[in-house]
Amino acid sequence: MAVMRVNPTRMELTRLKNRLQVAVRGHKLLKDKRDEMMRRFIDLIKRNKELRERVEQKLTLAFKDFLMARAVMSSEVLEEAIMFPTRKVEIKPSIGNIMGVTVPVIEYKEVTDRELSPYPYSFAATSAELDGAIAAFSDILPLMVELAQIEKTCQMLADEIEKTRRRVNALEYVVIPQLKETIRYITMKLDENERGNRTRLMKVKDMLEKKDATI
Amino acid sequence: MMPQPSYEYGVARVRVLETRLLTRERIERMVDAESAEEALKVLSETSYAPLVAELSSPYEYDELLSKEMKRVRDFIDEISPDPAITELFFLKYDFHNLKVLLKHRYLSGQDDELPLARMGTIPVEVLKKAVEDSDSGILPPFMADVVKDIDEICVLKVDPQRIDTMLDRAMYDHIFEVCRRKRNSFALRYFQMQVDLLNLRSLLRAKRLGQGFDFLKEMLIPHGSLSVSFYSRAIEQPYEQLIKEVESTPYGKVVAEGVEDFLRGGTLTAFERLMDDYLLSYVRSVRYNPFGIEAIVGYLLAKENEIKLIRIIMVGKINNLPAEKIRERLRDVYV
Amino acid sequence: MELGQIFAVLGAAASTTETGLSLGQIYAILGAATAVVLAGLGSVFGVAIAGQSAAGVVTEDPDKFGQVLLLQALPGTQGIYGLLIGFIIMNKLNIFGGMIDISTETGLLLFVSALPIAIVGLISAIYQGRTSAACIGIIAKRPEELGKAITFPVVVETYAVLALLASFLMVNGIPV
Repeated sequence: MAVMRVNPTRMELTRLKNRLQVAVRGHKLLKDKRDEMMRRFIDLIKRNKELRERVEQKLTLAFKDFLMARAVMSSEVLEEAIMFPTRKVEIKPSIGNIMGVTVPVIEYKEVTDRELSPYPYSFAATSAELDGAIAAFSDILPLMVELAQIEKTCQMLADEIEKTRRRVNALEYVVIPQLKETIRYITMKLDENERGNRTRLMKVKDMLEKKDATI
Repeated sequence: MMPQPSYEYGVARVRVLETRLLTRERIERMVDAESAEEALKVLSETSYAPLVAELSSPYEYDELLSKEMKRVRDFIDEISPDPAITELFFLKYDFHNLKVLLKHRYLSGQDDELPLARMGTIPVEVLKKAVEDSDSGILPPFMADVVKDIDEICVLKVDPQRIDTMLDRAMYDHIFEVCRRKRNSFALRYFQMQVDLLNLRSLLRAKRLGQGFDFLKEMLIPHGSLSVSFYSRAIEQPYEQLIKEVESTPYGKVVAEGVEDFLRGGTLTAFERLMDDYLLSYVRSVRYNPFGIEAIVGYLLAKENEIKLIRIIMVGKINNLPAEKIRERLRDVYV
Repeated sequence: MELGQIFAVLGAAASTTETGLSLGQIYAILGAATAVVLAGLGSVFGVAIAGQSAAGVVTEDPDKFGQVLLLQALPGTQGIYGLLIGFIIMNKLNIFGGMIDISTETGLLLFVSALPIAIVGLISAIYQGRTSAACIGIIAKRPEELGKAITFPVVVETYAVLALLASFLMVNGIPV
């Protein structure tokens, strides 16, 4: 472990000791944060997985229905039937916070005019297979919005966890050992100096005593 | 103007063409084909050969079908001894175009590719001009009136479903008016059965979606043989009661089988197939009149049916649907 | 050629009326003309109806020309029958070699005996034309069933033949 290039002075030692203390405390805090974020992340990812599976399953079914409608109706009639949607949704994005991580919060609100039928076409000209597809798709939309929110949150959380983990590791395996090493080095250097000084003093004292004796 | 071709001439031409319709056996071979390409290959052994040759990939099947339909439309125009009747069968394209144009106008969307059909009795450009410039004077009265009515209603609130249902009704009003005026009992009977079956389907669809009579009554088309009070009762009643009630009508079997399948599988696929089959079998049963419009209309409907069949098969093949999924939607063939 | 002659004869008959043709002769000639005209008209309608059907088939499938032509020609026979009766009457009158005089009663009789083929020929030819048109539909679908397709119009033909027979016997039986 490399030793920092510092002047082995007492002042530096005090400074480094302070830094070490901060680093150790920071390390502990970050570790706690990491663990808590992991816990939240795992919860979210479980929800995400479950939601994704549900959406995918429903989408598959909806697409199947739609495909059938597509098969029995000509493309022009199908397009006409769905060209004017009656269902409207409002999506309001805002910012949430999980453990200091800014995450998206998407508010889903249906603002459909209740008087309008959810089926924007007449039954006489369209196939019954279309009803199922339309119903399935409109069921899926809120789920999809929620899924988008959770998935993005998971992504951002994962990023943050990764960053925190790297910081923890850096503190644990680089900064703290380095600081400790440097402190040891300075202490040793200072001790060495102390010892040298003492020897020098003793030598001087000896020399002075000898001089006194000879006089 | 060219003199109108006679019934004899038209019927005889149609008789020859009937032999070139796809047979059950060919349809089965298409269903059993490994891929969309294979299915097209089967099609290329039929009268569709020149059209298939023009295709660069099976995904363009829609183009093939609309070309073929256009060809049939021109053919009917050419041989129809009574265009007033045969045109009734193309009115749906005009009304489809009106729906598209009106919805487009109320959406005030950008001018992208509109799903317009080019097979109507009135050129698309005329309809476009009429709707865009609110100049309904250039339309025939029965269209102009409904467009005006829709405009009046949509000033307050635009309801796309309302646009569709009003246009549907106007179309059938006109169809029945013409049938009665021309005293064509065949066309009258055909459209009456069509309306009845469509109404029955609307009833089942409304029931399935859990909607009440208020919803259903917007969808019903007048001129059918079943009364409005029947529908208002039927929407509340259980399915068994409904089956019993239509038992004595000509649609007893269609409803019984269709509803049975619906209760089993939850889809109206079978009902739709049965109702198409029913209409086609009616036309098939009267097509032997050599001096009437029946055979000519029959050919037109057979062709529409055939195109529907090909579309079902091609959509199925392109999306790798299992053969039985395709088969449960396959309608009868005419010949 | 025959038609031309008939018209010539009719024209001649008309012109000689003023020059003292008997009423019997006029009736007889009227009978001959009725047989030829009505039965001929019937055939014209019949052949035209069947012909339109035939044209329809040939438009789509020119190979069937021979078969549909046969069916189209069937309603043409009534015209020939009419002409035949007309001819016999004319022969009785010895129209080509200076007319013989006949009584009014004989003339009327000849006129009446021409009626079966005239009326039945007219109507049967039209209906046979329609039947032929319908049967051309069979040819359109199953060219191998020509025999069966011909049978139906031929049944109609029977009654034209019967009328011909009646007219023929009557005309023959009338002594001049």
